[in-house]
Amino acid sequence: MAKKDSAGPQVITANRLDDGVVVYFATDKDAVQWVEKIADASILIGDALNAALVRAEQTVAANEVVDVYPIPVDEAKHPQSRREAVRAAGPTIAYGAP
Amino acid sequence: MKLLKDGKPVSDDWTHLDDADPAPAAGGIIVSLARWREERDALLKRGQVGIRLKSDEAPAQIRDDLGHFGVIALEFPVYRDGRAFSYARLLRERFGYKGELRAVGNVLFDQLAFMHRCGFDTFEVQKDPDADRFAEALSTFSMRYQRAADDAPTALELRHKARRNVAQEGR
Amino acid sequence: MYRYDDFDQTFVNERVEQFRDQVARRLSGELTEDEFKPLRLMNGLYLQLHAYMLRVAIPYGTLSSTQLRKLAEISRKYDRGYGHFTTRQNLQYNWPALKDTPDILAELATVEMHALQTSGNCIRNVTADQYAGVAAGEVDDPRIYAEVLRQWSSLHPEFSFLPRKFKIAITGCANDRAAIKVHDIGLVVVQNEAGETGFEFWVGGGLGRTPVIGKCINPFVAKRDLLSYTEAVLRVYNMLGRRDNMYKARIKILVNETGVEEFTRLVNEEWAEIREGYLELPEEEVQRIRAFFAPPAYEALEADPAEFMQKLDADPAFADWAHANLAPHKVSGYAIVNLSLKPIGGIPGDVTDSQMEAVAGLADQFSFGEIRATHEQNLTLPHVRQKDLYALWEALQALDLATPNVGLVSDIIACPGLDYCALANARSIPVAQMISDRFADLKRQHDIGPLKIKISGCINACGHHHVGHIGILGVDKKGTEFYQITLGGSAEEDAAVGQILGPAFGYDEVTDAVENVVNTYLELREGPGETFLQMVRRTGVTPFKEALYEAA
Repeated sequence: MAKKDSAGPQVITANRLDDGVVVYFATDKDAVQWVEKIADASILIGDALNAALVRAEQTVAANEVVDVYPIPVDEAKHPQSRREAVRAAGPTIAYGAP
Repeated sequence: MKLLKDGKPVSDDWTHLDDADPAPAAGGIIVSLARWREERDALLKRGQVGIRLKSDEAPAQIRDDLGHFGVIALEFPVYRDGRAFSYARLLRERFGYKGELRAVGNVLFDQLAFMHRCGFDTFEVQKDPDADRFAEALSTFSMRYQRAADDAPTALELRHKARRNVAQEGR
Repeated sequence: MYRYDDFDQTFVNERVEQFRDQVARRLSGELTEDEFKPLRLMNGLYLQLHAYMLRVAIPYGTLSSTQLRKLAEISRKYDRGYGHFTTRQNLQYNWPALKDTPDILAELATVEMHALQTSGNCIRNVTADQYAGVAAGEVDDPRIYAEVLRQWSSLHPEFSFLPRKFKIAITGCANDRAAIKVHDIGLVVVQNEAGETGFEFWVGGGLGRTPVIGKCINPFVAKRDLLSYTEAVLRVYNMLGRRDNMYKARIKILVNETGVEEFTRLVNEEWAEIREGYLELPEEEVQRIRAFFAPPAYEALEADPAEFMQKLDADPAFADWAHANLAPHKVSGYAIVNLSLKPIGGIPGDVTDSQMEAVAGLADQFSFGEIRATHEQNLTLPHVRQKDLYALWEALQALDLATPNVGLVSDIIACPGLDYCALANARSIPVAQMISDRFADLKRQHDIGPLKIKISGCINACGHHHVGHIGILGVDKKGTEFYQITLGGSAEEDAAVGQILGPAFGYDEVTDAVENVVNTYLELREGPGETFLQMVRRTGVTPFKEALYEAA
């Protein structure tokens, strides 16, 4: 379940249900929208974060995404944890055909 | 909650009795192992009794009493707890229990076929679609690799039967 | 190779359709994620850090060229053009879409493959010696019995919701390449004094949080009793294994808490009830399966033909490769060839679609169309004529699959780690790459000799760090990656759990630390005849510890 206890700026993330791709929540679009780039996500804090989490969770019920949770970020939207940094940027290694 | 039997919803003649509740004068009751042990004589006198075993209560404990029960309910507290699959096979295959064997608790559609093969014949399911698709769940696989309580022939047995038939025709 | 009959094919096809229905019910919302998760896991589908991951079973590590081509095609069509071989001889796709997985499984079914039971708390894909059928001194081909177990365990109605996952490995040789002593059940095919074939039964081995070397609970279970004895072990485990704590739910904990003697007694008591009856393995079935693993049409060839010996003399690079990557074949004039999936600085176990297709072609040309996957994340061509080795080597070089490092310091096992895995605490792959780069000099590697480095990115130990000669465990300390080093582990017949050397090293320090350990060995060994592992066993970890920590 989503944790809401961190005081600093956050973005909301999830994985898209049908293809598993990592997505982030953007509230400044016309409709509720999950975007693939963290740069396009909305930075949220306090009540706005809580309100957005409620909306984001509704898209779980609508079978759009799974595993919604907020992550602390800095002002440039860089995730503070290494795990989330890897998740946002992809594997740190060059994979597949050269 | 619906009770499924022979592929369709049926009315339930049994009541799960809480340990604290008094037994009604008539009608089938399903009691816990603890209650069975405490009130065995009274329950035997009353009749129409079934027993419910938790997932850490192995059926070997009631082996000598099997003839007294109209139903044995085995509990799946969460779908991950698969102990009752073994218990069901022991009851059917080793202890020779022939009465109603009921799956209760977190009984999922996608487990019905496994349960049925292990010897369960009634199922307390939680969701309606489960009941409607019961027959489908049991017919997903037309063959199996292992014997279990359902006694259907395995791939191995069918293979060798086929081979023997061919060999006989060849003679 | 085993081929499906109508029963096997029907079963796998029906399983694909069942999963197609389950995926449809998930996408429609009829199933919640909580309800769907165990269902997808039973079909090898995880949700990882970036995407879904599909783990395809390669039963006992044996592949045909047709199957490998299909794996290549799937990687191109549904994924990002590569696959990753794991320590359980499986292949993982890192980027499939949930909605495509029923089609992927349907494609796999066309080449007699599946993803059954590659995850979940069930009996997992059975692994075996990659040299099965071709190793000298083998008692019997372990794949016959692995196939028997594969079928018996497939959608077993009683054993699909065990306390925890259950892994079985089997070898037909005294020389253990299948790591059987760190499996829930490890089997060694043996002969008794009467010359009958049976199995040594090792139970309760495992890695993870609590590394344990398995115990032999029965030195000889007859062939006919294979299934009844296995079922007895599983039933005791299913009924008595702990379910209150997932970290204590593996059979190794039950064996330890119950005591080996009492556990064995419980198994024997259960076995006595089921030994006679339908679980008896008919010799007819053994013979049916054995026929599929009959040796290919080998030619009568002289050993060490002149053209091969001349090339060894003339081409030192070829000689290095032959020294490290070949193993003796039981048939004269043939060799077992290991293809290194550990190019210097590469990702252990990764192969591209074009490499897979090329290997399939080389298998057709040189190895009767057969390929093996190894638990050390390499590939093997099991039947190559010695006189073809030079041509094969040249072809492998062009594919970057001829690094002459099998069993050497740069032949590193690494789990996917934090680059892919949702459970990882630290990265594994780039650490393997840094160490590989540091020891890039092949002359130095050959001088160091046999040395197995194994790296895990978390305590779950998918990279088998506990049983590495040098083991590396990634941990997270307040958001920073650290790496703990162990020495002296082994996954082979002399299986042992490594000993922790001391405080962990940072990401930028771990390569230096490994090099320091290797240099200590080179300095203190009793000549090149003493391997790294032998020296650790002789001296203990103290000299390594002193060199590593006191210099700092």
